[in-house]
Amino acid sequence: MGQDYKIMSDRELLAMISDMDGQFEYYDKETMAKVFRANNKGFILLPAVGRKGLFAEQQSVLDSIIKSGVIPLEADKPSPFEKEKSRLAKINDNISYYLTELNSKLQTSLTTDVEIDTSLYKVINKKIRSLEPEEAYRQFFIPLGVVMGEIVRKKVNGEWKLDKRYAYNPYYVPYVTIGNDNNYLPWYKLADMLLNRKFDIKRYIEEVSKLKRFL
Amino acid sequence: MVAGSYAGYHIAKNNGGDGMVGAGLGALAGGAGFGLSSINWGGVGKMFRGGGGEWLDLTKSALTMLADQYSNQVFASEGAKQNYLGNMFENNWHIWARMHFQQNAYRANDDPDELDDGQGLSIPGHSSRQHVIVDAKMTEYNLSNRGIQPYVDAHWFEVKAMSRNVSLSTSNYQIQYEMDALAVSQQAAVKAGIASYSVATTANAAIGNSVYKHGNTKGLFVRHFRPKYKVTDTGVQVKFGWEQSTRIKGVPIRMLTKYTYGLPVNMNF
Repeated sequence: MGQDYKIMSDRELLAMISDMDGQFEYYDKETMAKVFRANNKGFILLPAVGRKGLFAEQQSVLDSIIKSGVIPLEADKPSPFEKEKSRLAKINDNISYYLTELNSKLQTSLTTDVEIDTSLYKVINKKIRSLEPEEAYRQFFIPLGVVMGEIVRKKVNGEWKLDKRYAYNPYYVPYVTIGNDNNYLPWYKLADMLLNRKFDIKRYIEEVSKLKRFL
Repeated sequence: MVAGSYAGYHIAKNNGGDGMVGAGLGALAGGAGFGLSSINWGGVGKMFRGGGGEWLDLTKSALTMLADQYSNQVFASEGAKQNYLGNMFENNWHIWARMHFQQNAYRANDDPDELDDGQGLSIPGHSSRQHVIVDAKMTEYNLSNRGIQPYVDAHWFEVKAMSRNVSLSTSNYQIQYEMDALAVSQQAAVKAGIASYSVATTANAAIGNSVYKHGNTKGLFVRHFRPKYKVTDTGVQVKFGWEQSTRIKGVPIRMLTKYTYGLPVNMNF
């Protein structure tokens, strides 16, 4: 099938659609990808979100791709959740992986059985703040969220769940719930803290420990 | 071109009257609940209480007064208070918006969007910044004769509790960055005429013309939301109104600064 379609930019593909309404064929509820007829000949697949899509001369090629459940596109700059999609989809099996990763990066020996000792706050803040924001985000965003989420989950006897998001292919953001839309969101404001030089482990722990409705 | 509303979807295309159907109060009304036993609802000054439970503009100063009265918070500094007010306002917006836009998969957003053109190049003029984090996103639906087309995350929201107007340069050009990032990352929605950028503010702030003009240039439908509140014997309620506006031949046009208000929710402190 690899030769039956072409990966193109959204700009190029949109230039082949004069009438977004009239040339629309259908969309897929699982991936939220849309299929359009091209102006002259062929068909276009626009994924839910992203700057690339697919062109094929036969609609059946795009139909097969959608049926397979996997759109053969990769983001140039995938979100950390997309990069870690496989592990996060089975987060319960991968807690120790992220704990080891976090401890290795922070040079600490944290566990998920007890809350982080306040004597470590300074060490953690210093290590994370010493990095450029983009680097701090790249290194710590996922492991911090998983470890803090797991600490909270054990404390409240909660359960990990996955929130579906869309890119070229769907991915998942984990959260901890105790039921009835009473949730703990480990990644709430974390990107903002890391990317905007506002990281403070005390404040982050306070934020993660707050019960939240899914907003 | 289809106008109006469909099954509760919020359609921002050629819609002089803004099709919107609330999901009903049952969805989220009540939110996290009030601490009724510890709050004196009768203690609000008459100016803010509005006599017989009238709907009043939720200005920045009214928000501050309500927080002072009901939050049971002691603020260590003015900065901490402002931070609390901003978060509290945003949280109440999310509760209201989620109720009204449930079918558009409305969600608060914490994820950064890259400020690039998709080819690894920064958007011109934005070299000092690599990302934006907009407050919320939702799906917009284009209703064509050939069926419903979902455009995931094609509507972005920024929430500001502030007393002055929002312009492109607000918060170090955050508004412009976000609009540009939206226009670049949602080109199909722009072409379909439904990419939207909305700003929710406290009631004494508005959106400056520069924002509407920029939206027009970028093909984004720009809309302002503003709140009203009402103190009752059992709590404070808040509701947001949205600006009446339209598109003419795909070009977003601001028509009137007239607001239609949605259903109220209980205010959370």
